Amino acid sequence: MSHKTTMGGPDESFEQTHWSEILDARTTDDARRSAAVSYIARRYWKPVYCYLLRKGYDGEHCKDLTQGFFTDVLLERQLIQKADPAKGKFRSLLLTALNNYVVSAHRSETAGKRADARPLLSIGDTEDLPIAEDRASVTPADAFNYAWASDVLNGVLTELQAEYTSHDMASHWAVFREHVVLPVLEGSRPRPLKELCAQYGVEEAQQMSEIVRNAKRAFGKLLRKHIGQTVGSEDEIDAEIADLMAAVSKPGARGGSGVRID
Amino acid sequence: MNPEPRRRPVGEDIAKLLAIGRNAETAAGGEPGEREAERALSGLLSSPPPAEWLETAPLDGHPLPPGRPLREVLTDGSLSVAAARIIKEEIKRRFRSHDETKAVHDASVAAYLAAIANALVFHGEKISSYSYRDLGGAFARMAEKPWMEPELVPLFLRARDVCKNKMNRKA
Repeated sequence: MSHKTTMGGPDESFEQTHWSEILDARTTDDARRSAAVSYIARRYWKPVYCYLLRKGYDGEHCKDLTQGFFTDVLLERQLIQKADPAKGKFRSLLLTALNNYVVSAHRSETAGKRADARPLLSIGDTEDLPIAEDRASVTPADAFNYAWASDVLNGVLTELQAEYTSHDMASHWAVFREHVVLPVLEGSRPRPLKELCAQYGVEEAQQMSEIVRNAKRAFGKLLRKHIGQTVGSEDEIDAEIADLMAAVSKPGARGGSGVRID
Repeated sequence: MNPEPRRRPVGEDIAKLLAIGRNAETAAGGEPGEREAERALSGLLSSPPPAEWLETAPLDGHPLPPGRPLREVLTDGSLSVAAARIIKEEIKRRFRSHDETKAVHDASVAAYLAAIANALVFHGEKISSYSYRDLGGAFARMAEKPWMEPELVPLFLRARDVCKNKMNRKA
């Protein structure tokens, strides 16, 4: 078992992929714009759906409204044109737009003018989405943020696992998973380092402790990379992580399998 | 490996994972003082509350849960206000001692505030003479420390929100 890792990518891992896509959607080329909006819809449909569900709409209605939101607001009303990395987080802009959309959608439906939802994205299985169970204490915005944070963490953990596996270090991922991730997600006690040493053929607990530390750092680096893709600059990463932590710390937010690990 | 989670993740679990990621890049590779504080806090929270604390627990049917690490005790919603008060007072005694390092002092302050946060979040009781404004600020700062134990971060954030609400209601 090797104990050195470059998992989590190089130090200069900040990328603007997410914002690049958003800014790309400003093009006058319809095909490119539609592709960029589809990308954003794929990234954000779960939080949008959870928000609508928490608003009290049933599953089918949520699907319609989710489609409608991305088509009407992002594609046709060109919310993207207003998006500016210098003016704050895209997540906040989307949440505000969603709030306004729900009000106007309700108005349209009341007036018998329900918008025809053209399918922009394929909404998959919604059974296991992270939905707030304690509805009294969880606002729709909380549900949105919880689903978004879960999705980001899913992406980070999936990439970390893939990186470890591709570097023939699957055992490091297994240690991280059993000693850090599962205890947090399941509320169980971490498996003792000595036990993990015996299972994975590591001689000293100190070495195992180093593996755990390195895995946490790799996880941290990837988390910063993923969050970095959704904010305007690297300076905003810490603030966004703190904001998400505060948003999901409210009691009652409870997942389906909010964060999955295989 | 167990493919079936024992329970579904809650928002606080997501916050803990985010805190682990945030802290890993700073505390683990950060300033020596931060690493020392992280170690001191981890050591303090991994041990059960000392037996002598139990001796001072009031006999009102709410003694300290014996044998459990302080980390679990401080984040447990069933910890009584009386027990939280004992932990707070005992830890205060500890950090008032002058011969401890800064790291141990910082760790003790974190545990002290966690005891106050527990009573506030789970019982709505303020067991400190500090104002809600001061406490809210202290909880917020604790949650932001790169060396903070991820288990305590959601507790501090919730306590900060309680303080904010109390202040808003007063205003």
